[in-house]
Amino acid sequence: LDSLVAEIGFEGVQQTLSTFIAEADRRLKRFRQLACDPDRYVIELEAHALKGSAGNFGLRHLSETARALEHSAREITANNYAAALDCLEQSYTTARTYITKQCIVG
Amino acid sequence: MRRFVEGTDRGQSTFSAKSAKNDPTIMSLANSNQVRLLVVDDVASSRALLSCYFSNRGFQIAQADSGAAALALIKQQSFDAVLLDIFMPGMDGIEVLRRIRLTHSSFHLPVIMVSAKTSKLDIKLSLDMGANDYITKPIDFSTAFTLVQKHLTNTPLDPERDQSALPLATFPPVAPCSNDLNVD
Repeated sequence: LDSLVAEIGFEGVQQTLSTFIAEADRRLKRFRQLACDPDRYVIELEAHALKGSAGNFGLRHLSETARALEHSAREITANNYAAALDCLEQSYTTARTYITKQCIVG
Repeated sequence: MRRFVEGTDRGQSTFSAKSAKNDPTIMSLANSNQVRLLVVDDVASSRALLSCYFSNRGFQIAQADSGAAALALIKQQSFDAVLLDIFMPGMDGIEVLRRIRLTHSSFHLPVIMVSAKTSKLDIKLSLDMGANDYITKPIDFSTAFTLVQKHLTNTPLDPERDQSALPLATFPPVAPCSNDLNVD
């Protein structure tokens, strides 16, 4: 995040992180509403989006967790999908806490 | 005049990242309010990051959240370069690129792909379809700036462009970035 502040300023980081969090909140809720068989493409698309956006903010663990889901979306089983979402949510909670502790956003 | 042969001189390249923030050529272009950049990405935070970065450096930014919206903007208005995501719902970036190249050569409208897809296959496909360059996410801003600079300096700006026709917009600007073209 420090390097991002150097590039776009503190206010820019605050604004864009707020956008990221709002999007990620929606995305994680959506993951829970999706089912493997009918929604594999959407799962892949959403995971890809989360991977890229988390990576842009240096949230590497979240980005890697999303990448794993993206790459397995075409064949993942329902049980493994549920487990992957648990991991994703845990990683996101950690990232969100980190962002908040850095006083970047509320 | 720069030599240009469609299909063989597209300015494609690999690159080494270096800071270009203070390059007098690009800053001159940007400060003249003539450099207009279209940022296309379905992910709002990615659009916001790129828009904020380039807006803070004097670029005029328009944003599109889908391939269809991007093509509509390009049809309506003139841009100097496009930053284009690939994996989007609906029309993906490759199809957007294909359609852009039906009407705009890589010389007249540089398109730089910005994607979290990192395979050589995706990069090759994009370049084969007429992309000028390819940036992978996480975005390295200095690299993005260097590439935009490179392709802008290869492309003549349109002196006939009517600045009064510019305001457009699809999304509100990120607050600290005041040069976005977007209007409410």
